[in-house]
Amino acid sequence: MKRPFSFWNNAQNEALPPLQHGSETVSAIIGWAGIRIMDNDIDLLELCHEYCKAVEHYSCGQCIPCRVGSRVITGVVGRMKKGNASKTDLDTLREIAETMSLTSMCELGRSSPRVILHLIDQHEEALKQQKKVTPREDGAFVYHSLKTAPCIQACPIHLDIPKYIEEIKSYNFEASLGTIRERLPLPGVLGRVCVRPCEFNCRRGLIDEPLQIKHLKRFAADHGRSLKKPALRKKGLKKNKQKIAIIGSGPAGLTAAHFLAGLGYPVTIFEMLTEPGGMAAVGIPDYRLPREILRDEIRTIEDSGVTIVYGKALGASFSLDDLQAEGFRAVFIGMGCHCHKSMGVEGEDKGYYGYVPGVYFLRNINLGLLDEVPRGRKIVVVGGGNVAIDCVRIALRIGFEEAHLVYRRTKKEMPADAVEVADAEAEGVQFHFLTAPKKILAEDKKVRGIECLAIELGEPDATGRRRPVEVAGSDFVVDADVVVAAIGQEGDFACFCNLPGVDVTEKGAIVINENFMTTRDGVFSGGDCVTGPDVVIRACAHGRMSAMKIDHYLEHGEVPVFDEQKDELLLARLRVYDPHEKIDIPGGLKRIPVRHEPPADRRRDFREVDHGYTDTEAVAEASRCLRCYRVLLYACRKSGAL
Amino acid sequence: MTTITIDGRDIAAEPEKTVLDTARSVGIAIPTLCYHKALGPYGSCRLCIVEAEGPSLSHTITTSCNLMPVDGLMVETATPRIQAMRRTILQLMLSATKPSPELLALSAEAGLTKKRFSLRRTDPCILCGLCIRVCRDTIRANALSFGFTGAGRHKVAETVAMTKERCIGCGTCAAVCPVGAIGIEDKGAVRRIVLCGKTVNKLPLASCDLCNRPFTTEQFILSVLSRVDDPLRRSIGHVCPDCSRNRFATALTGQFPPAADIR
Repeated sequence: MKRPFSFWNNAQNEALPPLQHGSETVSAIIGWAGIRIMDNDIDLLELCHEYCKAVEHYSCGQCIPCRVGSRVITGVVGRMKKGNASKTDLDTLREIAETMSLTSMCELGRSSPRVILHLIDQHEEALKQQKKVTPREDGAFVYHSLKTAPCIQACPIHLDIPKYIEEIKSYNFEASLGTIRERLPLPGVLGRVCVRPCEFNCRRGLIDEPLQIKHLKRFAADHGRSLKKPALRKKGLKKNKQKIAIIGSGPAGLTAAHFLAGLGYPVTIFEMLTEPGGMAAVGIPDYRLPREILRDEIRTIEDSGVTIVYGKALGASFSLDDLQAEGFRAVFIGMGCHCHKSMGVEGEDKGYYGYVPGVYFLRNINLGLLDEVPRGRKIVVVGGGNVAIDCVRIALRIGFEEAHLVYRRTKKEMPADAVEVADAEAEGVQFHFLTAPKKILAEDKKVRGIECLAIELGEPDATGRRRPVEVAGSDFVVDADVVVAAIGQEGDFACFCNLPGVDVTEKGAIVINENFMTTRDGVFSGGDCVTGPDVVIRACAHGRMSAMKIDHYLEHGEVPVFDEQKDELLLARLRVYDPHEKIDIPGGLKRIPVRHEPPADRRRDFREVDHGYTDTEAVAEASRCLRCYRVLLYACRKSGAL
Repeated sequence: MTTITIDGRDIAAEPEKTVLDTARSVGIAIPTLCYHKALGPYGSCRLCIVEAEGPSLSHTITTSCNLMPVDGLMVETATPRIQAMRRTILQLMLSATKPSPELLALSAEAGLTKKRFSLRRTDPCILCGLCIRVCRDTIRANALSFGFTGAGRHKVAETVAMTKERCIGCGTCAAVCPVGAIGIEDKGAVRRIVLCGKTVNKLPLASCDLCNRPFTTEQFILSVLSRVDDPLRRSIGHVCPDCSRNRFATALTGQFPPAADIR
């Protein structure tokens, strides 16, 4: 038998490793970047026909070449499959596929027929191999199709980004919010604070500038909020639905609660603080995320049938056994990571007034406990992450006259969001790069400064960033009334309570399996207490997935790995976003800038820094979207058919 | 001014004007169906494709209706390849619709006479979206939208759908439709909006205050009044165009008899 041929992106046959879909071996895939046949029994024409049907199914219908062209192609390939193609059919196929790939309006129509064209050009004889006698024995393989996009794949919760952008473009703002809310119950929050992996995977960025996806999401959320429509109708609770407890009202817990309540379960959230929102409330300053926005979205979730109990901490106030005794059939642990990493410098463990870890500094300010926040004239924050930036910026707002940030590498290596760094600079924060703390200096148990060392960058370390090397004898002193250590975005987070039956890692993170269940039956977990300090959208993604797992667990007593998870892993192997792709689309459309409060006005109070888009701005920005939808079809052997 | 080359001619183009407009202004014809000068570019009919090459753009095929000129841009509007593709697109349109006279004329120009593929669709609509955009952006009624009938939630456009409550019966959709798929029929004191042969809305006509002739819908009058401040213009809201012309002229010159007398 002839060896199957394969190509994907620019790689050929041997360079391509086998693919799995969950535990199943994938026999063939065909999609935007090529075709891979890993099983000799795959029938090429049948595979192509199924793929064409999928493209026709996913075609949005807004332009002629894709809407009609995909139908014509499906018909032609179908005839070829059955062995009754006419002599001109291959030419027709080539003509339509070429027109479709060059003239379609969006990237779905442009990317999909490329593989067909490639097959005609390179493997014409394979396409002509028609079995003319017997009708083929159908059914040895099952075909699955899916639609993705670089931005969708990059988003941890896989929002259908091109769809909600398209809806904004066509002034369908409410529908757009609906699309977002299908997967994410906190659009106003994420529209403000998301670290937006999508924008770093936006193909428009390869032409001119990536779309402002975060701000478009915020626009949709703000528009929905301005309508002042009553929150989602309270869903009637289905009978015999079991009670579910959620620990922590942070993004993970809230998202899980939202989806479980939507499925009809009575949900109770236990929150240790007096304020809902978890890290989104106490870890993010109000000038980035106004508290009202967060509270409103939480109220919407409460209205859908969720009860929040405040001042109750798992471990301190009650145990998992208590919950079980009270009749909670499933528990989701979504605790945040309110811990910090010590700097390992002299003086930080002496209990000086004026030395404080960044997470506590932010939390006390955000909770309004200003008496517990050390004050003074000049603050030095150590660290280069988003928490460090939040600390220096918030310090200006509570009355510090000078705010300094000390970071041991350079601006380029800072893990903080570049936009935030620029905002902080505009507000007058002074940055000291290539500087490392050595010793906290104090007088009468009160901080008076920090001794620092100059740094040089050496060889790259495991993360690819150049390792900081101290320059001997370069000590110098920076005066300060308050020193904040905000370097704890990585490393140790052993700050979760010991829960019987729930295993934790060496560092203290809760261990879960691929179905989000801990080692204790019926107890699920997700978010920071599993991953360590991570971004809001990932916590939401964990919450959403856990909710579906819990539902399955309560309905069927067991939890399978979902197709959605298998698809995600398969797509991750296929690299939906290719940063080296060359795109021949006219560019020059810059992103629509977001308006800000002027730095001089905003730096002293907690007003929101960014303004939202107006209708016209949002529509103009949305119009820049290329709609890079990609269709993938994969084939697996039917179980039992070998 | 930006200098671009269209079909070998150096042309000084206004930076704000699309390549399509620029080409047409110097007499180079590019066929379009979904383009209308009252609206911004959209690019759904794909007939205005051109071959383009520029300083930061390698040779490509793109629509000219949303292509903005940049210095050094070179555009070819009618190469054999472009013409072949336009023909293919027209054939797809012909095959997927009940061709309208407008579409047949455009096809005849390209040397096409009959359907090449047989695809079931029995109305002339090409789903170009012009009616939807003019209703939403210009009229601000937003009564039309793409609709989808089947199970596919991926489909954005399968038909054009009407939200009756928002329709003001102005008839702009019918005026801009490039294939005559929308019609306005006034009979007695009722206006019908006919979309692809189906009556999608019926609205009563308001009568002229002066001549008593039914002339437009009450909703349309209200929509106009909501955008007009001038008292004189507001006063003739319920006056038909013929009478208001007379009334204006009379008010200006005092030399015309009252409108009612003319009728």
